[in-house]
Amino acid sequence: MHATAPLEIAAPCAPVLFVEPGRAAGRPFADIEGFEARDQDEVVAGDFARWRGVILPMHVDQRRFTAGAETIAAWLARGGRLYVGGNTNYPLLPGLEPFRRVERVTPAHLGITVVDAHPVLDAMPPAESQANSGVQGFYARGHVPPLPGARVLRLIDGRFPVDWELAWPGRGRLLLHAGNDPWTTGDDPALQAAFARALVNWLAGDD
Amino acid sequence: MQPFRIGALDAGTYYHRAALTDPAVASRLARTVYVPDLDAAALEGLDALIVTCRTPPRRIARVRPLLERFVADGGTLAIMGETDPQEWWPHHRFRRLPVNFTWWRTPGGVSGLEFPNPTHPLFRHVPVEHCQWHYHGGFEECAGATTVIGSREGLAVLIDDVDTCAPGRVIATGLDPFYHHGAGFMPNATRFLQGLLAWLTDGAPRQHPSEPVRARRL
Repeated sequence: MHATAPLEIAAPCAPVLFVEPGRAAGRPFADIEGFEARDQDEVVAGDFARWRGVILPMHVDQRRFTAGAETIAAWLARGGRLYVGGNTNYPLLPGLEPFRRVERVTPAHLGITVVDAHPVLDAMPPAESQANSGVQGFYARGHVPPLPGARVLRLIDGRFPVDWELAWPGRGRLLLHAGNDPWTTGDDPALQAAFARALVNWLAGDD
Repeated sequence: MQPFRIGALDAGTYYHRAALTDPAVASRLARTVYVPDLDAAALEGLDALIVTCRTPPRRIARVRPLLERFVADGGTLAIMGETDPQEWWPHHRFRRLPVNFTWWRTPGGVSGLEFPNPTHPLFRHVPVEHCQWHYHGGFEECAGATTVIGSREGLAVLIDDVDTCAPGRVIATGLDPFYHHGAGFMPNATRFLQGLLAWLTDGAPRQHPSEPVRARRL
């Protein structure tokens, strides 16, 4: 993928779009500025160019946006930033392979290993996001194979890249988390809100 | 009973794709229908339509007249959990409940589900144990509808309404088996889904009025 003309945002709008899959973004995003939410049926991939960053949460209609995979790739190359959550099994970008589940879903096989730091993921420590009310496996139960050139951020079961980032020259970035959206995991509302804030800031930022 | 030709709504999420393309599920379906493509032609020839788990209520609300026509014409509408039918299906009154998904972690814990009609034909395919992971709500009492699965809150977590919607039928639940099967999270949801689909493809035989009713509580 090659860098092309930098992204020109068609103001005025918030820097970041949260694509709502039918329900609101929820409490972790309640006090965060700099993003706006729109129902998924009001947005197509070609609209992403109106925002600096886009959030595709785990309950989103991936089929809808896969129809614009080439468009999304071109937007990222021009400086767009995208977060994708869920056990993604649609090729939202050309070449993206489907989710692969860990073979055994015992707590011993669901452990998360931090490989590299990241300003978004660092807001949600693995130890705080694995279990909801003591039920294990909320963070993730498998992985999506990284696209070529991706930087692996976290592993599941010590081997499989559950979180990774792909960078384009300039500010274009894709952050893919192959599990439940981290702002829904764990039992600490403060951490969930911190993750949501870090995500919005990163999607809007240039670092 | 004649086998049902079943359609299932595909809301385009990862879990819809995972569940609906699973051969054990796909082999039970005549077709899947991507929700934005749902129209009268997509329902042609179907005996039953499943509104699968977590299909966004705003999307279903747009096609409500189509679904009402489907039932009025004799079709069976099967409404799954987390579809918020209180926002788009006024004919049965659904109420959301706080979800208790940790009941099994407490020694002697109970799910809160009740089984007032254990002889209902669904249970030939689904042992009551396989109905239990958690539930998101239930329907208020509806004269004419059978409570197949109840709850300690006095709601019907699975109803089978063969009378008030005649000649059509409504089967509706606060259980969300497609979601958890597609997400690979809750083995009982997979077992329940397989049994539910087996019952539906069998023509969803209904409870004979003369069959004894014995309440069973878990």
